[in-house]
Amino acid sequence: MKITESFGTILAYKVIKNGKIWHNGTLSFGLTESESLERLLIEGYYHLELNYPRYFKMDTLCKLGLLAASGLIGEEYQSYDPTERCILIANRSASNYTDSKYYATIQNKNGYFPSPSLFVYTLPSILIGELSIRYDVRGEGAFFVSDSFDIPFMYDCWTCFGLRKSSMICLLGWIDVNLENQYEAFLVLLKVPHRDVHGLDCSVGNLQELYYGL
Amino acid sequence: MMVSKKIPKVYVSDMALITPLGFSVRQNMEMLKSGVGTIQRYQNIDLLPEPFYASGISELWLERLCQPFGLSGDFTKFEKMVLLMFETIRSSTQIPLASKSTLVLLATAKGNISLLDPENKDTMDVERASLWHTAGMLQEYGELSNRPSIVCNACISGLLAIVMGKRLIEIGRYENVLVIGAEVLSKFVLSGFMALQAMSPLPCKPFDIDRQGLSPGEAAGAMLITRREPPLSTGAKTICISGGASSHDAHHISAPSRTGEGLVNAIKQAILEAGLNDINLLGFISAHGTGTVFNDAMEAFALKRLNLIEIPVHSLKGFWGHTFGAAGLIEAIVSVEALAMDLILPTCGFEQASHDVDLRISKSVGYGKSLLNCLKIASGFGGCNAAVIFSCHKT
Repeated sequence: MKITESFGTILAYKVIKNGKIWHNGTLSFGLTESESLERLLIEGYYHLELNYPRYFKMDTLCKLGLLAASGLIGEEYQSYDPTERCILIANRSASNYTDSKYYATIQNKNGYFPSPSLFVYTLPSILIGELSIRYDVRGEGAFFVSDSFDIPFMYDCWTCFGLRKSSMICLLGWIDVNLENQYEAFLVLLKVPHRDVHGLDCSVGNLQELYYGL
Repeated sequence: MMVSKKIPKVYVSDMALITPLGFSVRQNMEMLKSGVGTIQRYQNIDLLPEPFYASGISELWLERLCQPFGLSGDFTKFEKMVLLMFETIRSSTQIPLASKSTLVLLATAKGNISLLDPENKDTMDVERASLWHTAGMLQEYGELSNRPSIVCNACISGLLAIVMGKRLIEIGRYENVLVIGAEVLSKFVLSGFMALQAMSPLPCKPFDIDRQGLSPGEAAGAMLITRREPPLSTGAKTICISGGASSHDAHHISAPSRTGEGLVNAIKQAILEAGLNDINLLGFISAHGTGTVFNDAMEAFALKRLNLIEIPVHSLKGFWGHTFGAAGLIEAIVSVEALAMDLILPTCGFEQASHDVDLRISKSVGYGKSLLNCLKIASGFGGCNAAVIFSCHKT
């Protein structure tokens, strides 16, 4: 297999932070002040017309991920077989936000009522599960945890997926919510090299520009 | 990044293992052959209000194993297990683990989760509970050039890390990948599975007609994979990773697809990559086999769809329980060793066949004739699946 400086094309990207949502670098939605994450997740849902009632069953991390993915998935994506769709996500806080909420249900002193509906969300890879259900993704996927968004590493993993004939299109990014309610979402839609594709070359440099740009 | 024209072969070089059954790969294999499991009844209100069945590693034994390496009580049980696996490989291999050409991948579902417990204010440490903290600790401890990456992908983490490690070597990014997997018993995980009513009231019985759920366990393992062809040792087989893949069911976040769709796809991709034209060249299948009604039925259905029902299948979870993020790795380690030894392992806990499991479940230990390949599979919450094929390398 040949390694080149770039691999594939960035078709579109979403950024969510500081109460705002950007699509391909353009602001598509923003709260009037830097309001709560919960507010953003609800208002964003309606503004971006997610139209997916299951969203309200999800935990905070999954809602953030679904919000970030909306608008990236369109005709291009749907033209691929479900087994050709893949997902690569990383974050810093794993599922700690929901882990903490679950811990509150198993306190021996203050009432022991372990919540199964919270427990199922105490794995960050459930975000990939929810995305796979929403967008019928049956291909490959992986969830990583690191202290910061390791773009070179994620680029390598994308190359690993994309060089196989079985993967054609990929959602790749960083979706994080921590215990202090701080959040960040960065998601790109990548496609394997194809002569007819127009867009930004998927290189470590370009990914970094998009991620650090806003 | 290197430019390579030919896809390098990926070999299994060194392995390490610690489970409630044994404290080395060799000891584990001896105990597995005997067919006796370690899942027992616990009564510990710090973990669960009522008694439960699980399998744990003795703290005393862990301390003793850590002593030669100077791993003191300052480390948590989880950290000790990770570092012990690292040290075991480091002391046995020629491959430079600290070099830029080696990446460490750490597979775990919950890591140091107990440090997030607000009820234990003395030990609560949010930063140390973070998985990236463990990666940093490991990097510092091993003086590694590359920061370890963490695969946190539910119950397929261990096997998925092998798949990713193999590919990162194939694209020429690294020469070697050390996959370490670890999981410890915790109130967090035990209470959760109890709340989901997924815990077996007795030691788990994979694929059995009376199976009623899983039994949690704890373990750690390490597998060093490399593009370097291992030195030929007399008689011992060299094992390589000939195929691997992951997939998703896109069905449900906590129940597998009834048709085993995702698992079928992952296995198909792995078989395709391995170039296995005749599936009868598979010596055995090491299943995920958790002992839950749904998982085992799904796996059996998936294997049936692929015409793999004549291949001997076993599950190791009856020996030491479900070790979640570590499971795929530690069971892969055993699979590699079994392949090298031409060993067909038994399924501890399995007694009577079930109508919804139409497979050749191996009940007792046996020996195959010059086994060439084996398949290891795993599935997890979120509908994720992974499959890896190990093969004997012909020189």
